[in-house]
Amino acid sequence: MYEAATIPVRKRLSTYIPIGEINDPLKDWQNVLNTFILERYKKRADNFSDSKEELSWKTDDCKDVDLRLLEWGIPFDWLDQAFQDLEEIYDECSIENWDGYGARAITQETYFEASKLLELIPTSYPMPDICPEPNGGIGLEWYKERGYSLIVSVSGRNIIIYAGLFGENNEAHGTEHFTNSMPQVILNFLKRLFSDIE
Amino acid sequence: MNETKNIIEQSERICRYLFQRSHFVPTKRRVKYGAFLPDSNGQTSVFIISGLTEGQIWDIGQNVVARLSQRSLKARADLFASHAMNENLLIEPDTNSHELHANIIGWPEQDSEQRLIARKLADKAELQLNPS
Repeated sequence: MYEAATIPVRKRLSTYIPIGEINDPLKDWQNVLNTFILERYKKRADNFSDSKEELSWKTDDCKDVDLRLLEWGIPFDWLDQAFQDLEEIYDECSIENWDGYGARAITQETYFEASKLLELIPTSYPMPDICPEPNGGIGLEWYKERGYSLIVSVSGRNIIIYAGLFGENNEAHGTEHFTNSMPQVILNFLKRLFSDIE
Repeated sequence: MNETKNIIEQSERICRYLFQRSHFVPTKRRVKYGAFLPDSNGQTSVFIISGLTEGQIWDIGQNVVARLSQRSLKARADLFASHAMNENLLIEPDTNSHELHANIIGWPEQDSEQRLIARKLADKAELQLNPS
């Protein structure tokens, strides 16, 4: 049994998805969420299945839940999961040629800078995808739907590179100096991308 | 089908073989922008797959690209040459390693613009998971 208040939402949710539903990637996730997750989550049930029933739920699928939870106005904290993803990517991509096309290794400086960037993102926004880049950079990407996304990447040089798509003929890209705070322009782009949630 | 392609037409279908799990989202059938970013030489390696069967396409991935890169092939991202050309990129045949190999070249110098274009290509791409 888990103490509800101390367990990340992601873990709590994962205990409620029937194995038969989650093993098929072609299943309609919205239906799965509606039927098996959100209703139960909303009821704030305090009984949790034991660990053997807990499923290995891929992070990518969790983002669907993140977005849905935001729409429902339910707060959650994805930072632990994001750090875990970042660490896995750093482990995989800290060697040369990690992509098979001669990509540069991700350095410790880049890893630390990406960690700092993650910490500065308001968790009221969905968890970003973490994407290794062939130049040794690490990008955070919020992908909302086709034509609507924001990429923010770092490569250990105190510079943020950003690129955003905000619908037909609405795009922006550029660089910002990065030290200890999130540049306002990035926050503005996040707000713009998720204006329907706020 | 196996002749060398000297001119890449807009209607040609091309693919990018993917070896990095964090470059695509299997459950959403979505490709991430990092899959298309150019290498340090300013090139994105692709293969022309027009007219090939699925088996032939995966065979190139497994027996040519994966063998050369010594990496495990995870998936591929398919798109049309026109998608790259519409972003003012060029597709240049580079048949030294294989007769159907080409590079997407002509990427802008600005890192931020490269990401924007890579995102657009990823938006257009169709993800195919390695069946084996």
